[in-house]
Amino acid sequence: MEEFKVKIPKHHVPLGLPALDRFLRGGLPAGSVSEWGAPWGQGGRELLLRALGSASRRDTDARLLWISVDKHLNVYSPRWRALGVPLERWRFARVDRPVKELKPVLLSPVFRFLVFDAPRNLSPDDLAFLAIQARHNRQFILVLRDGWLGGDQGNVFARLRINCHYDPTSRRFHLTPIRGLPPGELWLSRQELEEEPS
Amino acid sequence: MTYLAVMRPRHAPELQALSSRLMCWKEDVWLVDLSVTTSYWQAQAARSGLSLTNLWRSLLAGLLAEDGAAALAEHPFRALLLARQLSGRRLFGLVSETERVGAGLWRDISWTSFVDVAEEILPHFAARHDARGNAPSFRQKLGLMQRAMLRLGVALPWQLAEMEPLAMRRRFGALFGDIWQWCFGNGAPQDFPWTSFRFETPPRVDRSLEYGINDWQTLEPWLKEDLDRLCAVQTWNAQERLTALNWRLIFDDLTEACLEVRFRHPHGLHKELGRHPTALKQCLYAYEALPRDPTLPAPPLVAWQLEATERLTPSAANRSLFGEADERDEALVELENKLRVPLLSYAPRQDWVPEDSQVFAVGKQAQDAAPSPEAEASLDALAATRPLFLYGKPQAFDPKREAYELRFLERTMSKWWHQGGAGKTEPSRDYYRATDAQQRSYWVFRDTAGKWFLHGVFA
Repeated sequence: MEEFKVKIPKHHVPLGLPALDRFLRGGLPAGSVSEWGAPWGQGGRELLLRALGSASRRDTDARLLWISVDKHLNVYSPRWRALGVPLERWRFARVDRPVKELKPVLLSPVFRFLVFDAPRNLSPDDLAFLAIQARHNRQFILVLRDGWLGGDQGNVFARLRINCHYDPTSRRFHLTPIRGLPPGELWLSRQELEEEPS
Repeated sequence: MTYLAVMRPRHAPELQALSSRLMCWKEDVWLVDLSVTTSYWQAQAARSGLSLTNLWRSLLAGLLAEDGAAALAEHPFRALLLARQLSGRRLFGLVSETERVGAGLWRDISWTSFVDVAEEILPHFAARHDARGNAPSFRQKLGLMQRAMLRLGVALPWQLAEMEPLAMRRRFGALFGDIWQWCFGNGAPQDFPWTSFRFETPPRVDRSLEYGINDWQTLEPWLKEDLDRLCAVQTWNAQERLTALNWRLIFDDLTEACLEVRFRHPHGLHKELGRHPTALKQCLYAYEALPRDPTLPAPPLVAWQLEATERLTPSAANRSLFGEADERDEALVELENKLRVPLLSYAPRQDWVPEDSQVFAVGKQAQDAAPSPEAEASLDALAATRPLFLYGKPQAFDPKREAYELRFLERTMSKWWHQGGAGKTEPSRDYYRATDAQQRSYWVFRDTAGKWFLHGVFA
């Protein structure tokens, strides 16, 4: 029972993008899982990369692991660097069953951020395990879904559930919270995502 | 740079301080495979504030004889040629093919040096009963090649760098085709007749079981005990790091299987005495990958041998070069050693062609040459219009299948002059952002022949 004595951090950790941090009530909740509805091809990952790149630059100890399943798609690193991602501290893995094949990673606090990009084989037990590990290791675990999140179903272990995409007509990112934040929406232009001087 | 050719080392066994994989090429010429220890040396270079090449340069200073020469290259054959050229010019020390001096020396390599080193490979192929080691056939093809080069007036191999390895193979045989591929193509080092050299019998322990076992739970405690026994072998210095174990399994039907348990980073086995979580995990992965007939029960194991085949032996002089290890880096290294799958890292590269504009590395930090500021600014601007993910290979795309909205982005010149001449690659591509009715955007291109391809996703 020792594990349950670990104090759940109540504070939020700012990402360093003021407009987004205000919307998230101070940043990402520490030691938690958040779930993002970001359909492929609709720009949601650009917003998340800007946010995670900024958070990763602010905390120079932080490493990030990006876990994907698609064997045909590769990261295009020049674009990631152009978004401010510190690639030297980011690692990438491609696995079908992330919880089974990357268990030593999930048991270790080496990576502060873990991103599961469109995972296909995450069972409810796996999601519960991720939530426990995130709390235990004070990690930020982000699960990106290739589709919109709905209010009536989904991951009960996620503290935050948000849909996000880029709207080419208004040239702004659009965020809609599903859980963990008051109802509402946020529209953000690329200029509004400018980083806060640290 | 993963291979080092060393001519005239002061004392050859000392080269084990650089890597656990050495090959004796000929008397006084050694090859060192640095790929198995690059991540380790990258970490040491970061700690000592040196570039990787300069770190190896300072390490080699104590390992080479006064007239010793060494060369770093991506392929062992190129490293050998470069070291020969360096020594022939009466230059000493270490040269890398990516540095200006190394590139200059490479362009000046003569046919004589080329043929000499090519001839030295024959005994290595012959020892493997490979037809490429046939000396009379080699000499016949060599005569043909020399006459052809004389007739063409080609004074140096470099002048024919654009020649296709396949064309070389057709005219002058398989060996010259391979050598051409190694020198001027993207020849995989796997084709090279590498034979690891052992200076001494590696530490080994044997286990005979009184009854057959085939489940991991029962096997694990015995294996853990054997790893402890391996650490206690007197010839094994606790400072040495392990890069590969050989685990020979003997089953009750007396069949055998030999598993190579390889570590992504040099592993300090003695540090995990009594526990060995890292080595046990890698042994488990190798054991699970053992080919088995799924319709039959796994045959029970009755005995095994565990041998520390490849070890890195840091010398006292090396250790004094480095400061304290960074705990965070050590933790990542230890974690990577415990994983079944490798972790990748990416780094952008100064190139406008999407397929060539990044490097990736497995189990170590991807690195590219330092970019020039002018090129970096323009390539960053180019990258800002490109997608986050690329397909490994462009896929056929039909722009009429759906009502795509196409927006022109860029015209990119391909490297048509590199890939076997005209006809194989279209000279340019026009890239578009294709957005479908669901607002999903893709990166597509049309080549000069009018064919459409899907190349990336604006995720």
